[in-house]
Amino acid sequence: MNFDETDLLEITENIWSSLFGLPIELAPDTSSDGHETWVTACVQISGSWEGAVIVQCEGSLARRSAALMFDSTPETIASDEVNDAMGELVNMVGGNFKSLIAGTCGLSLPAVVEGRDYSVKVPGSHPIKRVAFASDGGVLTVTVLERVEGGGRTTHPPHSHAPRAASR
Amino acid sequence: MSIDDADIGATTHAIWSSVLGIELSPLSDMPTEGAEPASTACILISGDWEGAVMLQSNTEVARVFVAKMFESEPADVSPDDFDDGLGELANLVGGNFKNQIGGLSALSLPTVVHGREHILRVPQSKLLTQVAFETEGRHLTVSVFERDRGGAAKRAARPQDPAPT
Repeated sequence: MNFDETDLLEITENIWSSLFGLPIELAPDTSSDGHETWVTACVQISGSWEGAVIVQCEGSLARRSAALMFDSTPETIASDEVNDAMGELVNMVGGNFKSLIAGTCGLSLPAVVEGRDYSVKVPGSHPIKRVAFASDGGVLTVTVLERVEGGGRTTHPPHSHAPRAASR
Repeated sequence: MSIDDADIGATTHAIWSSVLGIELSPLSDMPTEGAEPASTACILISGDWEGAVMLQSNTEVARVFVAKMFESEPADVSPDDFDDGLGELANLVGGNFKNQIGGLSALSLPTVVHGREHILRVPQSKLLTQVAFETEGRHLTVSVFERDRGGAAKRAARPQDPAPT
C-alpha cells in the first residue's frame, strides 16, 4: 500500500490535539531508558487492505493525556481510564487511516497493553511506516503494519525496553 | 450454532489434544497471576460479531506448547517461531470460536505480547466467558470478550471527538 506520510502525520496531530488539547510535534525516534512504563494500543484493519495501526505512548504521558480526557489528574486517573483513552486514540487514528484506503475495510476493537519491559508483536505483518512525536514532555510513536503472506520477518532490538511495535 | 452454544473450553481442550498432543485439565477457579514472565496472544474478531479471544499463560509453558506444535524442544524454539506458534494457537482457537458462533466475521492478525509486567486489555468490550486449564503444574487461561455497545454509546457522547479527516 502506498500512502502519503503527511497524511499519517496530519491524522495523528489532529486527533491528539483534539482529544487531549495538547500540542504535538515530530521528534526523533528514541528508545526508553528502561524504567519507563509504556502503553501500547493496537487496532487492526481487515478487508481490501489488511494490517494494523499501533500507537505506543510513554506511561506518564498516557496518564496525563487520559487525565485531561476524563477531567481527572495523572495521580488519580484509573488504569481502565488510561486504557480507554489510549484505545480511543488508536481507534480514531486507525479509523482515519482506514479512510485513506481504497475499497471496503473494517476496524477491529482496540487492544491495549500496559506495563514495562515487554514486547508486542504482530506475526504475519511488517512495518511500512513508523513516526515518533513529542508532546507535553513525553514521547509517542505511531506504526503502520501491513499483512504479508509467507514471510516478511523483521527483527527488533531484543533488549530495548521501549516496546517497539514489531512484526513478522 | 450461536454465541450461547459456543464452548471455548471444549474447543481449546480439543485443539491442545489434537494439535499438540497435550491433555489439558480444566480448573474450576481462575489462577492468580504470578511474578513470572507471561505471554499473551489475542485475536480480534470483527463483522457480525465483534470481540476478542485471548490466551494467557506463563511464558515457559507457552514455549512448551509451541515446541509441541513444531515437534521441537522448548530450548530450540526461536523467538520468531515462538511468536508465530503462539499467534497460530490463538488463531486456531479464535477461528474455531468464530465458526461456532456463525455469521460473517473476520479474524485479525494475532497480537502477541511477552514480558514480566504486562496486562493486555480490550477496551470497549466486556468479558463474555473465561476458562482455565492446568498442564504440568502450569496454567493456561482463555478469555472471550464481546464488544460492549453501552461503552460505545458512552464514548460517542464525548464532546471532544474530532471529525474524521
